[in-house]
Amino acid sequence: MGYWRKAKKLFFVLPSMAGTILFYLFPLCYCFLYAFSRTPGRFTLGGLENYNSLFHSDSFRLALGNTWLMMAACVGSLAVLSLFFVYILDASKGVLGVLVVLSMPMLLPATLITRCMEGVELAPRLMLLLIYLWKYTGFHVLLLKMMELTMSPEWIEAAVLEHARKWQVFCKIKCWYLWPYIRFLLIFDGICFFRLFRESYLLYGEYPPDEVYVVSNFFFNNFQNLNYQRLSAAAIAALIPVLILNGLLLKVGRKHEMV
Amino acid sequence: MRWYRTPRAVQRGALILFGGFVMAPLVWVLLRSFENPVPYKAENFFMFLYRYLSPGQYIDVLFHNLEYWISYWNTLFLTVPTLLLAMFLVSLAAYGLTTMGDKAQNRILAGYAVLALLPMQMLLVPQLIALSNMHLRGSRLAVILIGSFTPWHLFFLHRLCRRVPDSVFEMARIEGAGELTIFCRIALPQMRMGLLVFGIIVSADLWGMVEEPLVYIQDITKYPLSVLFAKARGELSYAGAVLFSLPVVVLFLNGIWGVMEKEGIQG
Amino acid sequence: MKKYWFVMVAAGMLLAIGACTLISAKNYAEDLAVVTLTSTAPNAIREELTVDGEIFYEEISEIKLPTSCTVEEVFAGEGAWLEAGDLILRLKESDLQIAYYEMLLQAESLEETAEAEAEEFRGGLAAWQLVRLREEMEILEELISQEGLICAREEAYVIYQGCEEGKRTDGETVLKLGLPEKGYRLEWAVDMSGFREFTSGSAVIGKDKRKLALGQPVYKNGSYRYSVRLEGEERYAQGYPVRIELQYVSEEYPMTIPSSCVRYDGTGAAYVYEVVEQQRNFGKEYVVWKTGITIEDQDEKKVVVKAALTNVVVRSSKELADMDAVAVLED
Repeated sequence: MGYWRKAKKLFFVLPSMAGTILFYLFPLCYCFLYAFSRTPGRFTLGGLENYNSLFHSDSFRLALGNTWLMMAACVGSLAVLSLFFVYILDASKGVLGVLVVLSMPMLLPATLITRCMEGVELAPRLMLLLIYLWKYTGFHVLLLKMMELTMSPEWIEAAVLEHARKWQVFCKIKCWYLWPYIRFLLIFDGICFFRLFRESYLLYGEYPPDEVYVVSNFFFNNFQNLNYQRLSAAAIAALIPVLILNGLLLKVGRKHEMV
Repeated sequence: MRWYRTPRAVQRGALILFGGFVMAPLVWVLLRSFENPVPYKAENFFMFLYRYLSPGQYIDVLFHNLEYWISYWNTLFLTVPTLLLAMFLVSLAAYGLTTMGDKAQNRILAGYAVLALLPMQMLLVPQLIALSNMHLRGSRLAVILIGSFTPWHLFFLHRLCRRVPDSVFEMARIEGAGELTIFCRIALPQMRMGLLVFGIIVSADLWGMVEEPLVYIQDITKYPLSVLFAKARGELSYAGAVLFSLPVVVLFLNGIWGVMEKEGIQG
Repeated sequence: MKKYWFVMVAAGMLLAIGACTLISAKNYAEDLAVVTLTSTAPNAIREELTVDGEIFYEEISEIKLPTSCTVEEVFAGEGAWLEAGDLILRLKESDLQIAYYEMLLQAESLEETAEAEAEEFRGGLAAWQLVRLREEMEILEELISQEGLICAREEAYVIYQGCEEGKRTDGETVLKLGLPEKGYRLEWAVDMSGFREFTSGSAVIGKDKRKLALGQPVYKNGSYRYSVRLEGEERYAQGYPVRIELQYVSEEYPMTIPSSCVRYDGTGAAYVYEVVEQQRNFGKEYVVWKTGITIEDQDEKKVVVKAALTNVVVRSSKELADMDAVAVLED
């Protein structure tokens, strides 16, 4: 009976899992195979040839370096800015109302901001960083502020009694309370960073300037050049560090979660 | 605890600066959408008004650009089915996950998290092969299916719906309710707000998709408006961009206000 | 009501999008110019030109008197047709005789001078003058023998008569006679701008139409002058007007289009509009492309082009511009 109950619960997850496995997991496994194949059609084992040529490729090294640099800059800036506004702003009705409006950019199509930025002369990296901050800061601050409202006010009162300063309350109580959401947002930011490809494509086309040439552009160009094995090897090479980083992120602070 | 509050002036200043940073591009685009499509020389005040306060762009887009509206419909035909299917699948899966033990839940979520981190461009080729084998390449269904099964949807909704306590479901089971009944009568209403936020965010994401239709459909008659903007590059006016963003803005403003009301944030 | 706001807003938006789509479709269809098309086809260039020509005598006989004398009688004036033996003029015999004797004396003097020149081995001018004088004296002798009468030796047409009854001649040409027996020439000129290497022609003389064998024209003073010998028994006055019809037919060119297709821009360069199919998101669409052309040859109706053109716009219901969408009229 227990097994039947477990099976019934699985039915709810099954449709989503089936589709995800079919359209994402199998293609990922196929990607692994392609990465070790010499030819794009039939699988012929090529060993580490693809990785070898990949790491000797200037464009891949450039793309990888840019990706890490820009991801660190974008995600780091966003985290710092969001927390700064969470610290500064109160969770009042008026502030939340304004934050609701200011979180709209995340939902707007990329065409709107790119139409605006078309004539602006800015360094490409700065341009994309500004677009990234413009898009996601409002939503982050809104989400964290809304979660902050669910925090028990007695903790703050207890801190007041202990003569804690505001920054101490923020760092030692609020941040720890919000840590699961901050962690979630950091992972979400990583995903959103790759979505910046849309703005980059609309602004700079298929071959952007070297400073903003990231792995998404590398993947897209190799797809268009029909260089599937290289694309797969690059995908695996780019994925592993991201997985490690996110794995660490999920592990870190789990024991300190208050919720 | 007044001293824990930042001075009002500082808060206002921060909001004004931040608000200016966010709203400036939007206001700029909105103002430029009222520029006359014909660049007259503004020699006097009335010509200035005619030049910079004209509905010309809107008239051109609304009534003289068939390609724009066909693409608008294409956007709707891709976004709405994808969203509905995604919400249906993800709500089922989110409920299914909450009824599982922590270990199983975490394993499945970890798997989804790994897949969610993959950039879309990475899986272009294998997904294209999978779609070709299913004879879906070139069809709207390709984009709908790929969009509906996006891994980060479950990851995202699960985060939003974690607050629903298990005891509620246990009580219902004890009362003799089946899983489907619990899902429809208890889980779904509890997840309503999460689903609303999910719907707003996911629909906005789908509304502006560019790469998926470009790669999986490759048929100009089925491209959504975002692809038209990508290909036109400067030819479509500011008014076109404003009108394209309008449904998302309306949905967002109304939806998020409803969420805040329900959460008691306004009260 | 508040519960259904979302449904109402969504329905309203769908209606608005639908309405805008329909209106845009209607405006799109209304804005289309309707065009008719053609393609290049092999054809020859034909041109016809009508010019005015004149008939001239092949040979003209000039009668010039060596001395001035009084014209007693004029029998035939300008434009008169003469048979052989017909009288033309009577000159005063006494004037002729006086002139003759004067020439005689002059001749004797010239003879002595010529002899002297010959002995001294110099010049020859006197001898030459003597020869000329003797020629003139022969003419006078003949006239005196005819009692001052000038008559036509053969059939002739008086083209020019430069003397009056009772007045003295001034020593220049008194008569020009056209000789029909020697034949006629038909002459005409074609302006440089209208010139072609005509392949055939015909002359309309009165009610008759005669085919002409065209030769090579001569370029002179900005026009090309043709001269063709006219055969036949008819007799014409000098300068008889004739209408010349010239035809030009070229070899068959492989690529010609109607001249109504050709347009000219501000710089005078020729172009046509070609219709091409374009894929849009609402289906196929025809647009016009401005294509520059080089005209190799043309007549009123056709133009010869170098490149093969397909779907060229012949007529359009509206003014066209490059990349305009059009609707094509079926044949």
